[in-house]
Amino acid sequence: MGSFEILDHTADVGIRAQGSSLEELFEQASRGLAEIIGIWAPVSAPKREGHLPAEQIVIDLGAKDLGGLLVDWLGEIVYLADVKESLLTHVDAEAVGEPGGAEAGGYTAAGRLWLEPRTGKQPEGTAVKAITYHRLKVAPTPAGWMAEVYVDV
Amino acid sequence: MSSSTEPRKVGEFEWEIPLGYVDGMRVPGHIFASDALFHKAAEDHSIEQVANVATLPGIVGASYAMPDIHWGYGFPIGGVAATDIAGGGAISPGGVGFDIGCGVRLLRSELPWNDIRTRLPGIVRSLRRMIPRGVGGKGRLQSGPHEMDRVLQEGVGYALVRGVGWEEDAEMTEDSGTLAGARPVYVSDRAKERGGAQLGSLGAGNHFLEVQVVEQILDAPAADAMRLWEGQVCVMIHSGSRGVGHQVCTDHLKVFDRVMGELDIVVPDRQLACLPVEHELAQSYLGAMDAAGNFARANRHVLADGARAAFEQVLGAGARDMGMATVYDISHNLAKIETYEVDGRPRELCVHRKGATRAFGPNHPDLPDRYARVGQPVMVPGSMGTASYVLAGLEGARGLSFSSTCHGAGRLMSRTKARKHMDGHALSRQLSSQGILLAGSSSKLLSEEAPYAYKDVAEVVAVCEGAGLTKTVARLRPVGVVKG
Repeated sequence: MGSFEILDHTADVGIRAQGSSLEELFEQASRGLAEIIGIWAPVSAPKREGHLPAEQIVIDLGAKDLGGLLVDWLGEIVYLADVKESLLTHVDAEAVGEPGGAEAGGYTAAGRLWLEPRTGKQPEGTAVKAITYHRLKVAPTPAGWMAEVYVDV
Repeated sequence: MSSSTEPRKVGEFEWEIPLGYVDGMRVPGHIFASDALFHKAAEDHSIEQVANVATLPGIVGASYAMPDIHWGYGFPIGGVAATDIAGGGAISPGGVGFDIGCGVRLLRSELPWNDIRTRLPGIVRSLRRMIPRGVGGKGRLQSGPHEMDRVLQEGVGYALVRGVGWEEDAEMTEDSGTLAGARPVYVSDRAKERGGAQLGSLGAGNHFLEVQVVEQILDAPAADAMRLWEGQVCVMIHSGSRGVGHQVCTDHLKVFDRVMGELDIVVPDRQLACLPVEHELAQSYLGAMDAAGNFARANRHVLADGARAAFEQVLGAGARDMGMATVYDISHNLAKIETYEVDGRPRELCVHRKGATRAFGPNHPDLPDRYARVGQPVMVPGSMGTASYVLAGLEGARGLSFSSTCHGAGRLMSRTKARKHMDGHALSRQLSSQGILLAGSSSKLLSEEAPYAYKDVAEVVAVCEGAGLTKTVARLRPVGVVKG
């Protein structure tokens, strides 16, 4: 089981995530970000299947390194939070860290985000403007992987 | 014993970060701060960030920081860096930040506070309806994909064509409301999509619209030119380029991050990714940045229209009859090409201001005639519920800080700590006991933006005056606050 925690920063907010695999790491960081924005509303798999109107967003990215890949992945959530009046109900990182991307010298990430329209009032979260490269870290640990990433709020 | 690379005080309000504080510094760091503000800055990573900025290719003078300096990402907030374009000087999208063109517009009025104070609750209620705000808030002026290109190209000019605002608002906006270098073609579809629905919305975080009262005039000639007087009702708007600017920075930063490595440019923090200004991709960024800057100005312009409409609705008089003219509108997150004398000859520089405000002194050709004698107005928003200031630019700042000054109070406490300090409801009650009416969208956000989370804005502007960057013209206190 992975986990995440929020890191203190004077002006902005950081996320530290852990996972036994890169996939789990990306899922945990996504969850951390969605909680900051206030759009995290997990729905379990059986419910999700029959749950309409849900929307699946396919993510397929490449970047020159794993840090850049995480920034781009989380950037998809920031973008979706701005253009869709939706909640994020599930994150499925299917394959992260395969070779490819950034003119093939880098890595790729593929997966899906589940969204559901939010009804009623605006989220009580913190609007996130963007994901930064500041103090960005993705590194192996004895138990898998860890990442630190700061977001601009 | 401190080593020779430790920061040292070099003037009453000036501190130097010597070469060698971090590897690769090309110029020293220079921080304008009182002892107290400097020591607060030293508690987090902001001094290291000033030194990191000093490694940018082509940087001249020093890596400056204003007294409201605090820890940012890449650049410190309050950072100013100028690079010599002909000498391979670089531009760094992180030196502008994600909220491109974020800034402040001040509206004046002919309304004495004492005449309308009983109407304030109605005005705040009306503003609450008129001013979209919060996470994902939709704007007042919807524009389709083709119109979006016009917003990005024309800025305030586009809103005027749509019949929003007054012609004279443009004259009182930096660059007459339009950055001529805008190239919407370098703004991605995604950026246009993010911003398309947001024109005329506050956003969240530290953005606000406040009804304020001029509490004290501190420089009468400048206040006269700005037509400010004690007891006058004003409206201050702090907002930026919304999703457009955020996405423009995100898109170009990714490209800079990759190409910088191919050119063997090394910076100590990836968020400082930069390219020579003359590089094709840097020019694309500048065109997109100016386009986002135009969106930011148009955004504040449309918000100001909402404020005028709210006053009209409640007071039953026309905004023109109430004298609700724009005093000035200026950005505090932007890079601009400006000419300064360096080593005895004029040079074209790319001046990054990240949480710092341009402050031209008297007789600068870019100023409206009204301010030719007194210098450029600078609006410094305080933290929620505390005073804001109007300053005026001084000629001497050309040689001190590339004509730059502070932009606000500067954060002191992280959002998490601020939330633990007091909850939003208690804060709302406290502000109300001080006679400040609050219309915010979330209790959590209110607690994050509490006054105690920020530095004392009075000290910040006093240091700017003491250091010769700007003079203080007027202090305004909030009476009605609409938060993002």
